[in-house]
Amino acid sequence: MDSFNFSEVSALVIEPDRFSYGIIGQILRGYGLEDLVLITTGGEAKKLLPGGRFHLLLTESLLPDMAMTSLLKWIRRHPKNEVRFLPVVMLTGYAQFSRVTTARDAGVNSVVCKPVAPVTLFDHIMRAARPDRAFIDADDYAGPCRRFHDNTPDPEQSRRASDHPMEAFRLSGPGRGL
Amino acid sequence: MAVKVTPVPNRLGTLLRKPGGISRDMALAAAGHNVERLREEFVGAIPGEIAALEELLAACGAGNVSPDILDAMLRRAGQILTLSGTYGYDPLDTVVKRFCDLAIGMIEKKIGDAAPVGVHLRAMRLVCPGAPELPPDEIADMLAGLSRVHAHYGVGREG
Repeated sequence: MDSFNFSEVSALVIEPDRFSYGIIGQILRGYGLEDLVLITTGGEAKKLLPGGRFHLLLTESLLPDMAMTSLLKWIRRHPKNEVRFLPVVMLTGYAQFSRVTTARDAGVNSVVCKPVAPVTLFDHIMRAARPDRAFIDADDYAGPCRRFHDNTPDPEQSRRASDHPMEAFRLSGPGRGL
Repeated sequence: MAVKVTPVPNRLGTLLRKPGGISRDMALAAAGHNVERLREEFVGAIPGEIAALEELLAACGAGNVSPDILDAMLRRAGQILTLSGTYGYDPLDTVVKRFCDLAIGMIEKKIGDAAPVGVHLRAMRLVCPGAPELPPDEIADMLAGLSRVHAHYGVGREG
């Protein structure tokens, strides 16, 4: 894929940190994503998401009003497909990095370590946009298939040890086993 | 309940693939430019964020700090890390991460001594934007001092 069209994408961002909130908003606008709703609590998200308007959720791991896992489980068990299958990218701070495994087990598509750099966020959104990741419904888990792999992160490409799945996104197709 | 595997129609992917978009390089350049436009305002806010940490500590009194206050300080420190990491203030970034390691360790080990917290806040002031720039050897000495504090309390990487 040579170009990416964010013009019709709607994103919901939950970010209580006002600086991170401002930076993420500016990054997304730089991509060309204009339909952006920035909120600070999980409660607001629960009111807005059932409308089915959003194509992407970016959320901080530490919410002021509820546990992230609680919001994720609500999303992944929601009766509406537009909510249940929503791509979710979680943002996590230095002090909360131990929550990555918990978040994965609660059903996020991808985890980004803060501070968020434009290149890192872009690549993680592309990961969340991949069409070849099935949704799993089981007793103890609902969310994107966790048997999902892509290229080894290139430490030269990022300030953080984040994945850079662009090549996998470009080359995605049946049979790659991701 | 049996495990059900459902191929998902990815609305996001479908929209991103529509014609008329921009290249990855163009998107990243525009995003980087937008972030830079916030630099002056956001970097200017860092001293106030450190002051907020100092106020939290000062409110404790009696040389003790509670786990709740440490938790509140960790959240606030995360905001400073957003700014130091985004705008390239590496010494401050390192000191704030050391502070986070300390606070996490103190919560885990139920340590309530406010003194090591105060030491880290003073170190933040030394490498805060607007402070006189420290030579690299003085920064190294300061970080070594913080490491000794961590070792004394048995927290962080030295713990």
